[in-house]
Amino acid sequence: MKNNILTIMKKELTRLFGDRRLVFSGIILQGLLLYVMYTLMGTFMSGMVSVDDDYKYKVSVVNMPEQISTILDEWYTVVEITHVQGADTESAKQQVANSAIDLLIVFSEGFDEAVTAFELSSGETAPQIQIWHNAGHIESLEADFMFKDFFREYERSIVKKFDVNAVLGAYEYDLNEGTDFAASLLMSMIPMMIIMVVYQGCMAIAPESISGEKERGTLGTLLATPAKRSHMALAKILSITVFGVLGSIVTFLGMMLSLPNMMGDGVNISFDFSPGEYLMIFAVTVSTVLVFVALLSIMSAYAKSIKEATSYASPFMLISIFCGMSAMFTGGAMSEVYYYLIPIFNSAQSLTSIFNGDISVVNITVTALTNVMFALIFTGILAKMFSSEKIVFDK
Amino acid sequence: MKEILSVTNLTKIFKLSKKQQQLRNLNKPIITAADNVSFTSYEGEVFGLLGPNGAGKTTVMRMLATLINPVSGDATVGGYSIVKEPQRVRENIGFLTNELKLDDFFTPNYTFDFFAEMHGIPKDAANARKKMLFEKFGIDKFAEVKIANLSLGMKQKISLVTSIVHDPNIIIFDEPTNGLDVITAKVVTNFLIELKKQGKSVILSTHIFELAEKLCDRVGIIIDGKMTACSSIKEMSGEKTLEEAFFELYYKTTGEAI
Ligand SMILES: Nc1ncnc2c1ncn2[C@@H]1O[C@H](COP(=O)(O)OP(=O)(O)OP(=O)(O)O)[C@@H](O)[C@H]1O
Ligand SMILES: [Mg+2]
Repeated sequence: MKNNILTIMKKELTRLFGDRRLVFSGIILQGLLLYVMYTLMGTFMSGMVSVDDDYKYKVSVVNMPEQISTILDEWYTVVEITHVQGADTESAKQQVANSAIDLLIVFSEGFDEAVTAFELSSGETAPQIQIWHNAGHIESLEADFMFKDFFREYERSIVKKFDVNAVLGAYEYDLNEGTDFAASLLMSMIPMMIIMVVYQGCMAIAPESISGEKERGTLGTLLATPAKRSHMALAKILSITVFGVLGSIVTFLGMMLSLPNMMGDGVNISFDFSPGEYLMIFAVTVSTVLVFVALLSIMSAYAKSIKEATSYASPFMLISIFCGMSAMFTGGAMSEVYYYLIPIFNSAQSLTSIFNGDISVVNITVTALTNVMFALIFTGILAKMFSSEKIVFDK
Repeated sequence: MKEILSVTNLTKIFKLSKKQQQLRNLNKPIITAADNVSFTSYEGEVFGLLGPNGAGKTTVMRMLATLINPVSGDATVGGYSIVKEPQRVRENIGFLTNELKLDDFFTPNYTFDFFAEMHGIPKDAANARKKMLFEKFGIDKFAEVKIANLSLGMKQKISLVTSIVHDPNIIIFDEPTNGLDVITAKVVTNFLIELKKQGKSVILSTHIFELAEKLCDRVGIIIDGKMTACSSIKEMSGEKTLEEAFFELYYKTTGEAI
C-alpha cells in the first residue's frame, strides 16, 4: 500500500505512452512545431532581406560622367550598366517601378566639369545626382544603398579633408564578438517560446489524464481502492510531469536544431552553455512543467469533460505567453530576488538570465523552489478535490 | 451473531440544479436520496437491499463504499466508520457498481495486476487468485484482449473480478446481474452462493425479487429513500411471495396501487 504512488504512476505512464496520439501531441508535436516554425521563419526572413550572392544589379544611367564610368567599369561582375538618353528618363523610371531594372541614376549634364568648377562658397546649386529606386524590392534597395555609399566615398575622395575608418578593412571595426543584434532579439524570444510550447504540451495531456478519466468513469474506480487521495494526486501530477518534461526536452532540442536555420549563415549566435547552465535550464524547465501540470490538473479535475478542461486552460495560455514575454519588456532579467517568487514569471526571467549569461544562482534556486512549492500546494488542492464527490461524480 | 455492518440514520441529500428540477418535475432544489436509513447485517449472511428505481439503493451503497459522504448518520463496516476511517473501510470491502468503469485501454490481465498491486497483494498470491477467478468466469481466453474490444457481459465480469482481487470479507454488490444474459447471471449468482459458503458477508442490491429470495438471508426494502421494512425473507413474505409482500408494502407506504 505504501507504494501506491509508483503503482499508479506506472499505470499512468503505460496508459499515456501507449496512446500514440498523446505521445505525438504531447511530446513530438511540440518540438516539431518549434523546429518547423523557426526554420520557416528563418527561410522567410533570409529570403526577404538578402540578395543572392551572384546577383547582378541592373542599373540604368543618364549622362554618365567619364571619371565615374572608369571606376564603375571595374564593377562589371556586380553591376550591369545601361546607358540611357535623357529623353528616355521617364520610361526608365517606369522600369524601376515595375522592377525591370533595379536603379536609375541621373547625373546633371557636364557633371565632371561642373564638379571641378564648383565652389561651395559661391552659393550656387551643386551638380546633381538623382538616384531612383524601388523600396518594395530588395535588390533595388541594396543597389540604392550601394550607390549612395559609393557616391559619398567618391565625393570624399575629391574633397579629401579627413578619412573615416580607412586604416583597417571596414568590417574589422565591428567589435561584436558574440551574438548579433538580430540574433539577440530572436534569442530574447526564446524563453517565451519555451514557456508557451511547454504549456501547450502539458495542455495536451493533463485534461486527457484527469478529465478523461472522469468522463470515462474510471476515476471513481481508482477512488474505490484504499489509495490515499494525496497519493493519487501526486502520482497523477508526477506522471503527467514526466510526460511534460520529455516534451520540453524535445522542444528544447527542436529549438537548438532550428536556431541556426532561423538565423541564417550570416548571423552569429553563440550557444555554448556549460553543463551547469544546462542543469539550470533543466531545473527551471522541470519546475515550470510541475506548476503547469499541477495547475492544469486542477482545472481538469474541475471540468466535466476534456473539452471543458481545454477551454478552461486556453486563457491561461495567454497568461503564460504574457509571462514569457515579460522579459522582453523588462529589458533582460530582473535582479531583485522577490520577482522570482512569482511562478511562471520567474521561469521566464530565469531562462532569460541564463540565455543572456547574467546568471544569478540565488534567483534561479528561488525560482525552482518557488515553482515546486506552488506545485505542491496545487497537489494538495487536487487531493482535496479527489475527495470531493461533487468534483469526481458530478456529470 | 456478529455484526459486520451497522448503519445508523444514514442520510444523503443531493442538490438539484434548475435543469434537474425541471427534468424531475420537482419544485424543490434538493432530493433526499437516503432518509435516515438504519439497518444491521451480520457476519456470513447475504443481505439484500430491495426497492424500485430511484429508491436510493445505489446511494446507500456508495456511502458504504465511502465514495460519497452522508450529510448525517454513520455506518461501521467491518468495525470501521465510513465517516472517520474511510480508507480502512475501502481496504476491507469489495465494491461493485455499474458506474465505476474499467479503463478500456488495458487488458483484463493488466487491470487485475494493477488493482492487486493497489491493494498490496503479493505477486504470487495475486497470480494464483487471478488464475482461479479468470477461469471461473471464463476471462482467461480474453486475458490479453483490450477491454475496449470485449462484450458488455465480459466487461461486467472483469469489473466483478477486479473488485474482489484482495479477497475481501465484506462484499457490496450493486445489481451484479444487471445487463447480463441468463447464463452469465447464473455464473454470478452461483459465485455469490459460493462466497456465502466461504463465510463472506454480502450486501446486495437488486430489484429482482426471485434473486433476493434465492440468495438473501435478510432483506431491507427501501422506498423513497426510507428503509420501510427490514427482516428475514420468511418474516417479510409470510405465506405470499416476496414480490406480493413488496407490492402490499409499497401500497401502504406510498398510497399508490399497482
Ligand atoms: N449525484 C446526484 N445528484 C442528484 N440526484 C441524484 C444523484 N445521485 C442520485 N440521485 C437521485 O437520488 C435518488 C436515488 O438514486 P439511486 O441511484 O440511489 O437509486 P437506486 O435505488 O439505485 O435506483 P435504481 O434501481 O434505478 O438503480 C434518485 O432520485 C436519483 O435520481
Ligand atoms: Mg442503482
